[in-house]
Amino acid sequence: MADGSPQTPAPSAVAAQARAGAPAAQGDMDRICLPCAGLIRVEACYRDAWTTPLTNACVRVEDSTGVVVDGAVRTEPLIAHGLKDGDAPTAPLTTMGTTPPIEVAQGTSEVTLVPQGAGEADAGMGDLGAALAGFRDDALVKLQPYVLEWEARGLLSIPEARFRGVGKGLSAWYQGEADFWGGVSDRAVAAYQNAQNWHDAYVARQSPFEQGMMQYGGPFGAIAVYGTSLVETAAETVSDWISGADDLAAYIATIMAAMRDLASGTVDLMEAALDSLRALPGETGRLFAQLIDNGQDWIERLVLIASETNAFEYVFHVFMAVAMNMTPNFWAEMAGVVSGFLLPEVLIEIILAVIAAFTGGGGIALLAGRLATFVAKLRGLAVKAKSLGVLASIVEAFGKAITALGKIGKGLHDEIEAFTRAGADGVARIRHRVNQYKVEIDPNTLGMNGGNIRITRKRRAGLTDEKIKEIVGTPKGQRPDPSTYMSKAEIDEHLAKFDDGAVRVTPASAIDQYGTAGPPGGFVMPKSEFDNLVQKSGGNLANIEKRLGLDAGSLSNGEMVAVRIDPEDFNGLRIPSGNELGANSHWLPGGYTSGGAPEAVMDFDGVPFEVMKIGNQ
Amino acid sequence: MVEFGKKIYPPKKGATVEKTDTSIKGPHWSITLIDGKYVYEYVSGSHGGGIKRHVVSKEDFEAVHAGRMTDYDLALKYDLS
Repeated sequence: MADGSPQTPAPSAVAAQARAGAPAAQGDMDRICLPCAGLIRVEACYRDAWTTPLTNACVRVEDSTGVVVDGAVRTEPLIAHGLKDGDAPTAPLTTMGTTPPIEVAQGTSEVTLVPQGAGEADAGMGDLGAALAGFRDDALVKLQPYVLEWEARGLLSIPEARFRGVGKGLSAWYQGEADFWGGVSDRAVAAYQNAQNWHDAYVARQSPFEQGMMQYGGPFGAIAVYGTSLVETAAETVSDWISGADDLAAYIATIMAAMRDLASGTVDLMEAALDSLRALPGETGRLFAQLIDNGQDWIERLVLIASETNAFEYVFHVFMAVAMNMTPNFWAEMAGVVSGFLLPEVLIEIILAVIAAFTGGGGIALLAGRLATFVAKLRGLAVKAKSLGVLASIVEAFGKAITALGKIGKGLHDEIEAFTRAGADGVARIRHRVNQYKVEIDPNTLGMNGGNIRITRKRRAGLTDEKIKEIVGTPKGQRPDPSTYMSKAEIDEHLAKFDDGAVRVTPASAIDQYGTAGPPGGFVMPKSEFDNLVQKSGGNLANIEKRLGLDAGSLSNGEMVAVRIDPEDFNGLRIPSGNELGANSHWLPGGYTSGGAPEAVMDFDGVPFEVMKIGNQ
Repeated sequence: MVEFGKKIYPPKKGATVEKTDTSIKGPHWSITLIDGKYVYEYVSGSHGGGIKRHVVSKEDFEAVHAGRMTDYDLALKYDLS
C-alpha cells in the first residue's frame, strides 16, 4: 500500500476499480449519469365521482437539466389497448391516463399537460346554440296543432274510446313535470288540471270493487274499469318492438329523475344519473352498464362539457320543454290509451343520442345507427297515427341538432392545461379540477319563438378562473364582500332559492349546550335542496349521511340533526364571503359548494328553528 | 335532548361572555382550562361541522379574557373552520 497502511488502496488500484465500474454507471453521453437520475410516471385524472382517467393529453416534463419531454409523450388512451368506447368488457385498464416512466434528474421536475389547440370548442358552442334554437322552433311548430286543440278543448280533444285512460295519473304527472321543465303555456297546464279533476271525480264515482281494481288490479284491473282494451292500442306494439319484453313505463320515475340530473349540467349528478340507468330492466340497463364500464372518450367529453359549459343545461331543458308540449291528445292519437307508454323509450333514445354525439355518432359501435333505426321504426308506424310521424321528425331533428357536442368535447379536451411538480422516482399526479355547478337557463328560451340560445362557458357568478383563484387565495378575514364581484340580480336570484326556508345540519349537542343551531355566519342550504336530497335518498339515513358527507350513523344515532329555519326567522341571510368561521379550505366564491349545491350563511343568535324528523330518525 | 317537530325559540345572547379565572363562555363557544390546557370549544359554522375543540395558548386565553382578542381572531390564528 502507498502509505504503508493496510487500509489504504494504491492509486493504481483505485484507477483500475473506477475503470471497471464506469461503463455500467455512465449511461448515454447526453443524459444524466444514472446515480443522478430517477423516473417519473404521470397519472392524470379528473376530480369527478368516477375519477375518470384523463387520457391522450400531451405531456411536457422539465427537470433541472432542461426539457426532458416536450409533448411527445401522451397519457395512455383507450385505443392503446385496441379498444373503443363501449366495446366488450375487459379487465380493468389500470394504466389509462398514465405515461410510461420518464427519466429525469434527481430533484424536482415540473410536469405540464400541454394544450393541443384552441377555438374549436367555442365554434362548437355557437353551432350548438343555433341548432338547438332551430330545433326548438321547428318542433314547437309541429306540435302547435295539438297544443292549440288541447288548450281549447282539453279532454274533449281526445276520442271517447281513449278518454278514460287519460286519468291514470298522467295528467298529475305532466303537471309536475311541466312546472319543472317549462315551455308550456298556462292554458295547457290548466287543461291538465281539468283532466286531473275529471279523473278524480271519475274514480270517486266508481264502486269500492272498481276502485280496488284500479288501485291493485294492474293493467287488467284498469281495462276492466276503464273499458279500454290495451290490445288495440299502438302503445303495446310500440313497447314491444322497441324494448322487447322490457316495459320501461314502470321506470318512468327513474328515467325522469335521471333527466333532471342530466339537465343540471353538474358533472357528479350527471354521472349519478347515468349510473341509475343501469337499474333499467333487461338490455337497456345492460347497455348503460357497458357504456359506462367500458367507456372512456365519451365520458371525458361529458365531464369537460358539463364542467366548462352550460350546454347540457340547454340540451336537456330544450328537449324536455318540447316534450312537455306533447300534450295528452298527441299521445292519445298514437297510443289509443293516453298512457305515455312511449315516452320512456323516447327519453332513453335521447340520452343515448347525446352519448353517441360526443364521439360523432360512429365512435361507439354499440350506438352506431341506433337513433336512425328508432326514427325509422316510428315512421313505419306513422300510418296508424300521424303523431308518430311528428315524433319521428322531432327525435331525428334533435339528433342532428346536438352533433356539435362532439366538436365542443374535442375542443375542450384539446385546451386542457394542467401543472404539477414531482420528485424523481415518484408519481406526478394531476387531478384536473372540474366545475360542479349548474347554470340557470333563461326560461324565455324554452317556448315558441323564444330568445336565442347561447351556449357559453361556465363562470361561477360571472367569475373568471383567475378571479376565483384570487379570492380563494386571499387570506380568510380579508376576502372581499360578494357584492363586489356579484351583481345585485345574481345575489337576489341566489337568495331566492331560500324562499321556502333553509336547512342546516348541526350537532344535537350544540343545541343542548349552547341553545343555538349555529354560530354567526353559519352555513345553510335551501330547504327545497334538502327535501330533494331526502327524496332521492328514499328517506334512508345512511344515504343522507353519505350525500351530506356526514359520519356514518351520525344522523341515526341522533348525534347530528337537521334543523329548519323559516324565511320569516332569517337573520342576515347572505352569500358567503369566505370569511365566515365555517368557511373551510373547500370554500369557493359565488354561493355554491365545491360539490355544486347552493349555500348561504346567516347569523343564528336568537334564530328560532325546528328540528326535523328525517326517515326513521 | 332535542325534540323533533317543535319550534325552538332560543334567547338572543348577543356578545354576552361569562368569565372566571379558568374559563370564558361565549354565546356559541368557550375556552376552559382542562388538565393544564386551554381548550377552545366552538360550534362550527360548517354544514354538519359539529362542535370542535382546539388547544390554544395561555397567552391567547388571557388575550380573549382581557378583550384584546375575539373568538374569531382565534379561529383565524389557528386556521379553524
